[in-house]
Amino acid sequence: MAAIKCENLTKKYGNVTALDGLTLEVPGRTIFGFLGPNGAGKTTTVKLLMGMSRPTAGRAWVDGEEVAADTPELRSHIGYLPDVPNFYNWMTGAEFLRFVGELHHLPEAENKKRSEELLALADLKKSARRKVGGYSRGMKQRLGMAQALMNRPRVLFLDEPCSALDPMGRRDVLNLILKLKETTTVFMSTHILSDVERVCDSLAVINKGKLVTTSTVSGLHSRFALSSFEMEFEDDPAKFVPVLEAQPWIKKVEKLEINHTPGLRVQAGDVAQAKHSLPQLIAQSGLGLIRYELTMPSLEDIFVKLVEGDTKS
Amino acid sequence: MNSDINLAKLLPLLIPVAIIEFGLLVWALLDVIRRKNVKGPKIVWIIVVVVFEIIGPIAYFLFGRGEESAEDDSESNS
Amino acid sequence: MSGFWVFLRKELKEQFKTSKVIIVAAVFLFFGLGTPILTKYTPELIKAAGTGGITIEMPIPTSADSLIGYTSNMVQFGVLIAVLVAMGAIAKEIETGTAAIVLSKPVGRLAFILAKLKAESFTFLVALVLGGLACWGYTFILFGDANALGFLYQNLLFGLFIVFCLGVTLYFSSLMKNQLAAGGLALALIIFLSAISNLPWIGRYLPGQLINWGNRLVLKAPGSSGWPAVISVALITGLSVYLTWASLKKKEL
Repeated sequence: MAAIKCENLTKKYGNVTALDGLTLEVPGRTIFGFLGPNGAGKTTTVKLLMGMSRPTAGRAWVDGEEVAADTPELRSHIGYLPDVPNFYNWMTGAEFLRFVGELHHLPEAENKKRSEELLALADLKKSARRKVGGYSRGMKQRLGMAQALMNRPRVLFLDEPCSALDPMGRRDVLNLILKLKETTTVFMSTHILSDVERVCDSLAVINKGKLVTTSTVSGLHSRFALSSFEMEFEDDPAKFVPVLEAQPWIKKVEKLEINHTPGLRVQAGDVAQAKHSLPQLIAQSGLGLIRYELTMPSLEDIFVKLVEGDTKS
Repeated sequence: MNSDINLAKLLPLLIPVAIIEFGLLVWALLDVIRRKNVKGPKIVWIIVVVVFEIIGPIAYFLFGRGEESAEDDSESNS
Repeated sequence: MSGFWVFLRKELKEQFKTSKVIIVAAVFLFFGLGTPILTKYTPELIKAAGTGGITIEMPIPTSADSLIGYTSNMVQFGVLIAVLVAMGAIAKEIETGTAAIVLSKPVGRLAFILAKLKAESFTFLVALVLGGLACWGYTFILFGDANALGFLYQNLLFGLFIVFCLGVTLYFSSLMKNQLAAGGLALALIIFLSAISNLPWIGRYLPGQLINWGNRLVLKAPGSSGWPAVISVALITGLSVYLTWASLKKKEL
């Protein structure tokens, strides 16, 4: 059974279509990255899946139950971290977690234990007795993570969990998400590719409210993998560029400058042909070769390509 | 013309009224001065609180108090 | 109604932590103590300040004037403060996003609303008791008598009036993004309903009649009872809670 499923989920605000017919299925116990640039419709999607917002069209199911506004039973198995978490400023961090535990009907003793545990996990032990009003953005982000985990959720929605965190905090949160995998399905929206690469099993890419692609992380790599060649030269390869561009098996030639060393990145249309022919061409060019490497494009490049392709079509 | 106002009787009755009024005034003033984050200029609130008895402090408490200001992250990460 | 008691405890704590209980009580106490003194001595002050020539006929103030004077002061200030206290209750939680977090828990949205109404009503109950006791006590000391039972009834009716104001304001607070707009609309509606309370027929069912009936009870004056108004105001309050619930269910959090 899919932990999260939606069909033709659509949300319009007046004339603006924030989400356009999203159909998606997330299998249980996976970490699912929901990737897109700012304004792509990520937060809208998370809110629709949480029942915080009503779809213009389409339906969604979480943990086998259809999503709606007043569904207490379903909510007891769900965790939610909003994009900009905010709390009651007059409460302390510890008080807020206890309050959330009470809302989840945790027994007193367990509530106490669980909130202590999560305060430690969120690195908030020292600030636990301070009012939330005095917390920084990063501390609020971590408290938000802690409150989402109070009920040991079966499905966890995280809207940009790593925003507002410093590199250390980010690493901690990502490690925490990895640990949750044994028990939880995590739906994580983000615009940071490297985070998806670090923790996610599969991902969806969304742009301008439309689904661009869904894939496993490794599938995405292999689809675009090892198709580009990077090389560095002793001399300026300007004259070499037209020679390369004349080859039918080369898609694109880019000039690079790595540490003041001139270089080229070549995208091959036919990788097998390129592997044979490219070294010959370089030898004929008479340029002094320093480095020659077959590289994998970064997810960032893939993402840019996917999104660009989407806007063109 | 002789006033019927019985000062000896009136004064003790006025004291609690004065305490409430003065108490609210002082409390509001201390809050304005101490608070880092006040909605609008502090000096305006100080004038409002002092000039408009009762209503001034009430208006401040219901409108003027901003959230307690955020501290930087440094101490939590140490 | 899941989560009601947890929400109620939180809302009550919030009333104290944000000093709302003390502030509202202070206002009621101030008028409770001040009104009897002013009622008693205003004619004498005017007389003392008067410059011979014109003699102003001032009726001698009675204890009933003092008790009624307090309620009419509180109808103005109490209602204004009720609107101020309630106008941000839902709008602000939606604006800051706290509503999104707590309503993502296994709780009902009706519980969220009712807890707010109850906690705010509690704040005004405390204020009504303190202000009422102060006013009755001072009136008794200054005038030598005071209609206790009539004043108690009047305060109960006034209490219902305040709960009605809170309910209406909560509805606008759930409807509007801006809490000042919510407060303004609520105040406009309350003033409008009070203003037309003296119309024949329909007036019998409007909130203003609660105060009029209370005044008659204090004065021990004859006149029709205000039960129709009590019932209809209770129904309107219930209706505003229902509408708040309906509006919050549709709300984008």
